[in-house]
Amino acid sequence: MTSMTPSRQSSLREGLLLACGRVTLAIAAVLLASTVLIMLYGVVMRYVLGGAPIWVDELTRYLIIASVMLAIGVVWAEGAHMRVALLERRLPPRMATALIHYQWWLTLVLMAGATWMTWHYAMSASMFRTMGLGVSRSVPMLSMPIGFALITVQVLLHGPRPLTSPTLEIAPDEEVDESATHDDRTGGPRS
Amino acid sequence: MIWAMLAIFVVHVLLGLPLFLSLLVTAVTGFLFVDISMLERLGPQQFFGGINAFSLMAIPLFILAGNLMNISGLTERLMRLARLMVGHLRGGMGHVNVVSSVFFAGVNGSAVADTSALGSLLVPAMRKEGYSTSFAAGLTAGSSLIGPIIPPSIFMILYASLTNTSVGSLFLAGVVPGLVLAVAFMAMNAWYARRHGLQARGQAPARREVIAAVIGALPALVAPVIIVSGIVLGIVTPTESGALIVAYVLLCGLCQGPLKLVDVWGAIKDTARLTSAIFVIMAVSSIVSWLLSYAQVPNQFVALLTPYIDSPILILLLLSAITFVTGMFMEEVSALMLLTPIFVPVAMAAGIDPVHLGVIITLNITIALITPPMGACVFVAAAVSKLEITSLFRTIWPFVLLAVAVLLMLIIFPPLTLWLPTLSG
Repeated sequence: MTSMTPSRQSSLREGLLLACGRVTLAIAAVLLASTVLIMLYGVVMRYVLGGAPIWVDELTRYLIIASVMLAIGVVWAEGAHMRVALLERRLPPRMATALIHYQWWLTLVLMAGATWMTWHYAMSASMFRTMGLGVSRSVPMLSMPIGFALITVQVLLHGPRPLTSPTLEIAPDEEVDESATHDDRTGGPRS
Repeated sequence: MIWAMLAIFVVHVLLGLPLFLSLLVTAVTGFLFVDISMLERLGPQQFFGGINAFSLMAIPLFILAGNLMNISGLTERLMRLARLMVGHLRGGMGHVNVVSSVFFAGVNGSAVADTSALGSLLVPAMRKEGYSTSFAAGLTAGSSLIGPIIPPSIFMILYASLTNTSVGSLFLAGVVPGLVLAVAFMAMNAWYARRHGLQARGQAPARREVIAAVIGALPALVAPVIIVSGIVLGIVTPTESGALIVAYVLLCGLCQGPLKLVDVWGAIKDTARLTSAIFVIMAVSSIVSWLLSYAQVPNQFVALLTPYIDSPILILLLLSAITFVTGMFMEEVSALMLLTPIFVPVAMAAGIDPVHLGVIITLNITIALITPPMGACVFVAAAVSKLEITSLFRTIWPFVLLAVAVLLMLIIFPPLTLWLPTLSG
């Protein structure tokens, strides 16, 4: 039996993470786009037939919640959830590594716990039916454990390494445009 | 319990945990004090309930409409019109920046999107005209505050959903304050241009050219009218108006420009990403919000401010001061979700109109987008301007103070916000 080298394992994990992100984001986007169509259908029906189907409101809500939950993991993996990443950049390497491990373990435990908790909650509502669609209330609520399970898998695949932060880290500290004709410290013309 | 929750939240935000996870740790801490066994049922219930409202579904739709507007070329048409209208004046590019923000606000309710879209194009143009990079970046970030004030506004939809206030009235109430903010930033820009001896460029454009630009930008200019009138006249709900405006922008893009399917798909995926990031914060915030209610924080807050309840202006000033400080250290959606349920009972007791309060809170929360150390618009403006963030943190304060001055004006003169909703009945 041959064992995989660490670099091969890493690239496999990276590939799986990427594929998982692509697929879930694509499904989330399809769900989001379909809500637009359903809502437009509702508006048209209201003005053509005098009333929108009762399920339009409910289906729209459930589809958007499902879209939100499916995309949580990929948004996390892309580092696009809002966060302040200044400390891990400023700490000495050893402490930064410890911090990143703490973030990773905490995220893993929280998301695994949320999966378990929301699964039980969704299942506990199985005897009730939704008013508009008439389906078991567990069906829309399953988007929670599915979303949390997906992010748990993505956290595991990502491993304890720094997240990229496109929102709050993007400003380059040292990058200043030297061609500026004005002094940015004073606000006046550059001398 | 409250102090422990606050400490846990602040520590985890500083440790770099994503905000929704910091809030989740805070909620778990709160349940440890209350009764941890309640978490199993109340956690998922509040999480799901926090985002299971039809009115909130308008948020992704307005985000999508803004994204589609960018890729369909409508943003460029609006900027061209702004350039023709005010570009020839002294400090023209600064005025173009502000006027573009007003136009842009009519479809996109996000200040960060405004900063990103306009900043990348207008900061280099302003530098060419002789502006300092810090002023150009500051004006871009500052004028983007107009976005969430002029309808449609994501923050207003959120506030309306939390307080059962009419979205239509809130949208109408935001029009005048948004325009006042624009005038204030244009005045500041004119003062800067005069002080630094910037010269006017070129001559006023020919009327024919302006008319052509107006016609070109007309589809985008009409969008906010469709949104607001549709809601106010009761033709559509805010959520339905979001769907209609998406279809409208898509149609305009297909008719007018080279709108590619791949770009539309990219815009939808971007919207899914941003919606997920916003909604998950709202969902977890509603768990924390439940805990705050359980601990009777709103009641304690009302009791604390009871001595000042006779003066609505003083109450609004106090609420604004709290929001300002909170907004400096907290992400805007979660700040709005957590503070609104605490503030509303106090405001109601003081006889403050909920629509007026909505605009004040929205502007307060919006100002937080440009206050250090967590103002998202400042980070984006610094990035698109290739400017040191620390440098922009120093030079952003005049813009913050100007926005606060407008806020004070709205607090002192409520008709500025309530005039238009009252007029529409």
